[in-house]
Amino acid sequence: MNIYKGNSIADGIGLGKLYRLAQKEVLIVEKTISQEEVAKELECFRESRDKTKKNLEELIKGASEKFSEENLAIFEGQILLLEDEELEEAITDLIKEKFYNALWATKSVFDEQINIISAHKDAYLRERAADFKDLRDRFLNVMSGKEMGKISFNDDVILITGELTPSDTISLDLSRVKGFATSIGGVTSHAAIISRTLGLPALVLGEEVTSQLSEGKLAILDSFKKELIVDPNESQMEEFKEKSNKVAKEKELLNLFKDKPCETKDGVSFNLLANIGTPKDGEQALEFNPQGVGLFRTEFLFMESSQPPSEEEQFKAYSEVVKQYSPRPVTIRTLDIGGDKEIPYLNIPKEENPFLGWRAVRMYQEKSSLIITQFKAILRASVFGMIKIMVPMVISEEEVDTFKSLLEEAKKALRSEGKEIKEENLKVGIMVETPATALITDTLAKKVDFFSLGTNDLTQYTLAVDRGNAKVADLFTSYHPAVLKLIHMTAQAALREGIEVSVCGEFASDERGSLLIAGMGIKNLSMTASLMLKVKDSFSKIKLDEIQTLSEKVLTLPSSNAVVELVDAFRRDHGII
Amino acid sequence: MTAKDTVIVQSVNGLHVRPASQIVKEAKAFTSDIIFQVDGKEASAKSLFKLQTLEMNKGKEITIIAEGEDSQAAVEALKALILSITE
Repeated sequence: MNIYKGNSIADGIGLGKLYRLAQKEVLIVEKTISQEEVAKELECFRESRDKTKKNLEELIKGASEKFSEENLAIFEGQILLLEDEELEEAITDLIKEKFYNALWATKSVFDEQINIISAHKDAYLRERAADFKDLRDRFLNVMSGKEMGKISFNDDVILITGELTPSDTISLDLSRVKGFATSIGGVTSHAAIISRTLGLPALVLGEEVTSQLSEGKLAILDSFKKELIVDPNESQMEEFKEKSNKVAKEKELLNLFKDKPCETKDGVSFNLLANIGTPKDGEQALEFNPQGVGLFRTEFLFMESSQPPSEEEQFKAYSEVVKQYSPRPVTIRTLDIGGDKEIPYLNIPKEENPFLGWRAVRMYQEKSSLIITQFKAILRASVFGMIKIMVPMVISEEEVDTFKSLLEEAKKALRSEGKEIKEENLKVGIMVETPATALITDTLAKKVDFFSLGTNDLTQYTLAVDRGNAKVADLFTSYHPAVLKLIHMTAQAALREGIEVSVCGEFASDERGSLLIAGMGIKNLSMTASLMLKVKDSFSKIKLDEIQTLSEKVLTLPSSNAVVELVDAFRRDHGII
Repeated sequence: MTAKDTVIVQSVNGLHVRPASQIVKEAKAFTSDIIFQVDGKEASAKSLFKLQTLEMNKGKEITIIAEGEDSQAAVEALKALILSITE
């Protein structure tokens, strides 16, 4: 038994015999031709090019069911490259002027291109050299008469490959392929994208490892653990079975619940919303059909560049998400940073206790131009759909007044610039993430349109426990009766005043927490989109009055252990576990 | 007639083959010769192959130079297109 460690570029687990995908790079040597042969070589080049193009078009047709439009675009791009006049000119010039044969001329032109792109500084663009390598090999294979036929297998296989190319994955009979062990490739490579689309695990092991793997041996590719296990022993086979069952179950859940609303057994529905950090996250979350975005963190805009993002840049990012989700609402959390994050242009001094320090709403007045710019960008995005502006770390009425007056300034500025906003699409609310806030939600509820409970911070501040500190991390639990009471208090205040309330912390997707929150009357749960399936599954097994009773009981319990015990007993009774 | 303008790449992943092919298609709709300059290197905007030799990552400045009857329109159209490619 041997275990090799690698980097996962596509998560999953698979079992099969190792099979080495032959390197298809054609050995081509420099060869010159006579003047008389020029016409023939030119013809050879054009014919092969047209044939390569035709092959690609057929591949697209044959693969359009298995691959998304985005993945097929890779091949459409290759077709466009083949049609390029400058490419043709470069190759035919070499044939006519340097008397290279068609193979060598084509290889030379592609290799030069690949060298240039491989020297790019931007990692993503550099990896795109793979597109050209793939096209070069395809082209040269056709030219030298070696067609790339479909490869099929008799057993389940784990494929050992060099860089996994789009052509590899498309010319394989994938029904028996259980994973890819590759020597190179990054998380943004086509290979990674394609393996993720196919739901197959892929692990990058490096040339040293892949070259010494022997074909035909049974292997487990576990990219969760980032391991390739060759000749697994019995206990490893057991573990594989267990894990692959779990993965299969999750897939089943996905198919079962992906497009369904979140409903209890007695037909009461809850809104599951997505937590996202970038427009790209937002797009990916759509797969799970969320009811909107419950938390759009905007820090990414502020952390990835050396200067504050412009109004236009922010407007673009916010509008993108709002458009994706319209008519569903998008909750945008305004800047939530402090001394724990390094943002050079903000000059936030280092603090002893950044979590108790100058952060989030507390810096809005002093950094007013920064925050007004953000407000303006958000307000403008309201023309595209419903937006809920959510302000973090608010602990007092005064702070609500402060950010509201900054918001007014932003509106005034937009009016004078003649820029449009849609007031009826806007709501303004606050995060409830400190005990202080939760305890005065009855008065705060009169000043805002909604509350959103950030249960991670609420737990940290209530229990005075930093969960990043290993010594005390086990004291961190949102099942603590004090935390549960604060959540309940917030829900009650919102319900009494008739404003919306949601939870966007981890508790919303927690196996026990989700039931308790729902039982307390909170209808909106926001979480990482993929976690929605399990929540839908467990909600489908209970009735509303059952979790209401459960939550009431829980609020009378003395300890977090007692809470866990009671909820687990409930879950067992209802077939959730 | 020559027209010239600069534009900053917005595309998160840079203008690789897929987004660049949109640019080439647009460029081909004009009769003018169109050149992109990036990092002191240049390439025809009508050639996807040549265009890929330029490193057009996010935040990079592209100088668009067009020469011909519809040069002004070409520069404007390409600038707008590059600004609209954010993916």
